[in-house]
Amino acid sequence: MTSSLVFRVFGTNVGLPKTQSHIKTGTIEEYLEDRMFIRFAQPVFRTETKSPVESMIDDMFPSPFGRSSFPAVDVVEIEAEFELVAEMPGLKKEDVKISVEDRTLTLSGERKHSGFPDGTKIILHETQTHPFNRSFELPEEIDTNRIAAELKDGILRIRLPKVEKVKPQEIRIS
Amino acid sequence: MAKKNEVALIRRGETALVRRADPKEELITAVCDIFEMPDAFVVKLDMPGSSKEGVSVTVESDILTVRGMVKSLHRETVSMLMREIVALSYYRVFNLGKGLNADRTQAEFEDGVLTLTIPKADNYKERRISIS
Repeated sequence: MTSSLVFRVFGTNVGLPKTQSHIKTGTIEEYLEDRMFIRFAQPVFRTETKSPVESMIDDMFPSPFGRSSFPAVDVVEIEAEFELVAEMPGLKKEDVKISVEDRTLTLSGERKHSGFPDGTKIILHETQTHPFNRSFELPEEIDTNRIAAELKDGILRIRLPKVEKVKPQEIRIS
Repeated sequence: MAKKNEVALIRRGETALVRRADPKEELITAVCDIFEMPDAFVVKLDMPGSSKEGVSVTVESDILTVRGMVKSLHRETVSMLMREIVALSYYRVFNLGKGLNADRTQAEFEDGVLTLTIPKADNYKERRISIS
């Protein structure tokens, strides 16, 4: 991450939804190239809801009503498994629903604000509180029966173990 | 800019590069909600990935500074297939006006959200400006 990104974030992002902080500085060509690379470099875990072009347009013209693809997600590959990490600040276990159908994993839910007495005034509202729904296409090699999830400090981690390969069996000669 | 004693203000943003401790440190602005209750202001900052131990809140005269350190989300030896999370440390500065009891600020960290409750001082009152 370059310092120019940080400057961009500080220079202009004050008070705007977080989606702005994903914008990098540089020419439009560089930006597009970067986006293209990211999109096409991920044959697995493609999100189903938007085409690359739609996502690109959304990123270039962020909605004033918040981030278009909430929650932000990282996917990593560790030897025997994949891990999907999603940012979910302020969400409880009960607020998030994870479902797997065929090879599609869907994250949905809604952040709830509660516990304020009547007469509370909202002075500033920047966080995302709309219901969200995001789908990911899982690669074939995932064992969907062993998927496990954990939510801690606003970070959701979904472990997606790969199917255990059948070990070659040795047959002894009697 | 004239500051009237009885006016409490939490101004939007006020995030400044000059207050960075380490020039190499990379920080992002924490997104926040501010609510006004009858006796206090409640500030809720989103800091996913930070922890109770990693958060620091300081009050220096009228300036309230919030930091949330984020440890790396992933182990070193992984390959990234998709990257959207900007896993940098959080930072935000609020300029508090008079009329708040900033010394009695209560902080709580839960589910990646830092909640600050800043009580109003006894002499706090909203000042109406009449239009002549």
